[in-house]
Amino acid sequence: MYLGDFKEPVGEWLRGEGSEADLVISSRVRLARNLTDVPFTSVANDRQRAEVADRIQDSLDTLRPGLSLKTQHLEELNAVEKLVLVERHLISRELEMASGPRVVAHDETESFSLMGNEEDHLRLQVVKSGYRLEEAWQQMDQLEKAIDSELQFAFDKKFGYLTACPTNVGTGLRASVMLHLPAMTITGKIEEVNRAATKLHLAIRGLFGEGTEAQGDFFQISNQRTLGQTEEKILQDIAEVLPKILSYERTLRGKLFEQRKEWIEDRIGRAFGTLSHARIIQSKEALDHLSLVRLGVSMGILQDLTMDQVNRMFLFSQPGHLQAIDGQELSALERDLKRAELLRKILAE
Amino acid sequence: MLCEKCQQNEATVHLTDVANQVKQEYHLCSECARVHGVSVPAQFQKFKSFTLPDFFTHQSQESDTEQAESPPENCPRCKMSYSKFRRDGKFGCSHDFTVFRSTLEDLFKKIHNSSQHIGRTPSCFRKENSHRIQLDGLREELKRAVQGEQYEKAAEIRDQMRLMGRN
Repeated sequence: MYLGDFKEPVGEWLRGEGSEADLVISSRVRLARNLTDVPFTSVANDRQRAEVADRIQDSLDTLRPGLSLKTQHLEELNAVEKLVLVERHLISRELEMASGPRVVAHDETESFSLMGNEEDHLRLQVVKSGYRLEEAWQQMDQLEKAIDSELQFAFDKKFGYLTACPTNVGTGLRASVMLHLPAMTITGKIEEVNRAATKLHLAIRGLFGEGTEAQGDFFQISNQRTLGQTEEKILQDIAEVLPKILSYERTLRGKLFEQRKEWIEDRIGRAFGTLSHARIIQSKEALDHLSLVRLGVSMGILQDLTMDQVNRMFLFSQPGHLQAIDGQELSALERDLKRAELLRKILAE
Repeated sequence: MLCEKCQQNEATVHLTDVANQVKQEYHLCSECARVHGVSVPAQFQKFKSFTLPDFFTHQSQESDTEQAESPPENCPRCKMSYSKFRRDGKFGCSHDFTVFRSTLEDLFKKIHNSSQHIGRTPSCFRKENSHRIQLDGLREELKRAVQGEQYEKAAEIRDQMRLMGRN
């Protein structure tokens, strides 16, 4: 099982490059596509799903070496391996939990990935760290064209690309940015942003996308509508709203630093202290503290810590990665112990 | 435009009947055209004896024709019903979009505030589209040839369309 070198996060999205990287963790574009002559995944039987997986693989093979991806068949992976893929944002929880022939393929940097037999036959994804939505789209544009030349996508001249869920029909495009908004959460302004976003037909979701709750003050903002707009317009709409959200978060951070300096420093200090010395720590508590520590680094309050350390703590303290690093499945308590140990180790660097 | 017979599918077969100096036009979807034996080759062969008005007033006793006359409820390929789709929130196959077309127009307007895609298109559609445009053009020419009683020319065009239909 390919997990990469654990000394650094291989995942593109945690690289911390790109503009506004302290607030915008990553930018992502996702396209949904289906083949024309096979039923959609939820209705297809195992033989048909295997056929879809084979055809996807054939098209990828034809596109080598220009497009060089590593393919894995999810039915062959164990629970930990699948969890790691979810934590690296290479597969969705839905693909993890499903059964039958499913595939994931990704490049070395984990910037481009595709899922076969999730809700749609094909889900393509490009992720870039920081605010680089346009760049992500440019890359996706090329990749989708290449795959399009090898497969026949289900398409209707009125309804556009045909997808299993009506909310994806048309462009099949979900463009999103992952934001870290601790000041908005602390000051209770998130609800306000939520309402404003809904008015603009943008959705706000938690860390792992659809159907998840916000963890560690991370929020994903994405378009809701996919039909009746060009792909470029969808990206433009997010590009218009984003600076306002970022500016609001920075203003609130500024205010916290001015008006409640000792209070916020205290909270950051306590979070740092807990992570540095705890012996047993659960996932949620770790994420909450990491969010404050991340804020601390971003605001220059924690000067001896780097964003790279924060990113590694964030990724490796998650359940799948913990077990993969340890090389075995762990019980809940064992995970909580290992997590505390890992965090102490990284903080001591 | 919708098929005059079933009012459900897009009309893709357009027939102009000229008999005794009277011209009449009929617009049908491929399904209804097939069911009622209306096709370009069939038309040409039955030219002198076929009278279209019969086709519309004819009450079929057979149940399968009856079914073709009422709007199809289930997708013939994946057996998805519209009610199941609404329940599960997922389509069964790409053909559902054709089967439920008119209802989906309203649904998509509600979800996306639009029912017309204006974004990118796949290469297979672009290739097929140019083919369809060619076929439409030939169909027009065939109509004119038949109207102008240029039966030899009409036969040539018909053969050309048959060849294209096979590619």
